[in-house]
Amino acid sequence: MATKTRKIKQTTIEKVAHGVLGLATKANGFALNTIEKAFTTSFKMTEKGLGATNMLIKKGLEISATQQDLVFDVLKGIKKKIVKK
Amino acid sequence: MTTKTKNTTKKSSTLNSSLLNVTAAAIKTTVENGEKWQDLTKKLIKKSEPVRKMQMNMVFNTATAVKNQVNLGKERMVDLVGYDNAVVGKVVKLAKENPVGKKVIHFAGGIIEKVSENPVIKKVERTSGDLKKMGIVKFNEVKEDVLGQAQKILNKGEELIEDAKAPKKTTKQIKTKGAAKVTQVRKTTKAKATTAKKKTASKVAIVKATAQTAVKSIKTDAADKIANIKETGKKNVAVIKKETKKEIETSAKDDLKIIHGIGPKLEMIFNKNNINTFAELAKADKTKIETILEEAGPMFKNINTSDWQKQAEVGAEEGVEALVKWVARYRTA
Repeated sequence: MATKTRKIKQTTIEKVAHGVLGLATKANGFALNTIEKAFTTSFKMTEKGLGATNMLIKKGLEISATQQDLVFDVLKGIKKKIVKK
Repeated sequence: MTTKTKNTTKKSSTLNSSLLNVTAAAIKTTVENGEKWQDLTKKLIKKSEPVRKMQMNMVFNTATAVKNQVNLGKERMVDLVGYDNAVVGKVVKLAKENPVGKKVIHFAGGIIEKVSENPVIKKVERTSGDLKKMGIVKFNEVKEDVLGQAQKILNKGEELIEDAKAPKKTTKQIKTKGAAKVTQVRKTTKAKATTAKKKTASKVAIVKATAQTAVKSIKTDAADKIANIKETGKKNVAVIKKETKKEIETSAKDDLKIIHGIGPKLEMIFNKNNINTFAELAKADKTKIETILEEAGPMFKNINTSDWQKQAEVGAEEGVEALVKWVARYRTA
């Protein structure tokens, strides 16, 4: 009888511990998956955002280039007028 | 009391062991979970690589575009104002004061700062520095090796020069070397000579044996041949003797009929009495001739034999032709 009771006691402690540890691992796994998913989605989003910003920068640079050309064309015209005068 | 204490100690020990087991399991699970987190971080870093690449490309593309634009603006400005430095400076000032220009310059400066602060570029700078250091270290190693080799070559050359300068030593060395070589050569020659002697002795023995057998065979052949030759020689000698006898007999006989007064019958009588040649007739006495004639018969009694011996002398001394001439002259006279 004594051995039986000892066994029962041991199993109860270990059972609880194992249960706790199992839950912890499960929680950990869940956290890992969610974090992985979150990071992958964030990476994708950042990639997309970077593409968009790249496009915007390119367009902005183009605009600045045209603006520069415009300024210089105007300056050229003014210069021509000054030279004619 | 004792039983109670025993029970409590037992309980505490079992509890302790179970707690130990539980803590070990907890540590194990935490370690495993930590490993999982590490794996996840690795994965995420790998996943973030394209994003970082894209960011880098974007930065550099914008920087190059700004640079090109600035260069173009500069060129156009130079075109507009000419190559006067003062005017260019004024224009640059104007451009700088221009809000667009200000923005551009500010943006370019920001890009330069960002680029210089970028960890990837810093890492590249560091790796390039490391590579430079490694290259220098390697170069120094190679240099040391080459210098060591050159030093060795120089030492060898100096040794050779010293050897050349000291002829006595070299001669001694040469002598010792020569003596060693001579001893070696002597040994080899002795060995060769012994082997050659052995070979020649064996060859000589073989040759002797063959020569002996050959001599034996030759001797036997020669003896047979000599025997044959002797036999044939004897036969030949006998034949030759017979022939010579016949020839002597025939040659010894002169034609006595040539002498005037001697006919075939008288010749026969002289031949019977052993007078066959002119010389024999000349040597014979007159009395002998007379007795032969008397014995031959009464027919030959009164024959004149006075000139026969003279004629025979002529025939014996001067030959048959002289005798024939003499007889012809004697008849005509």
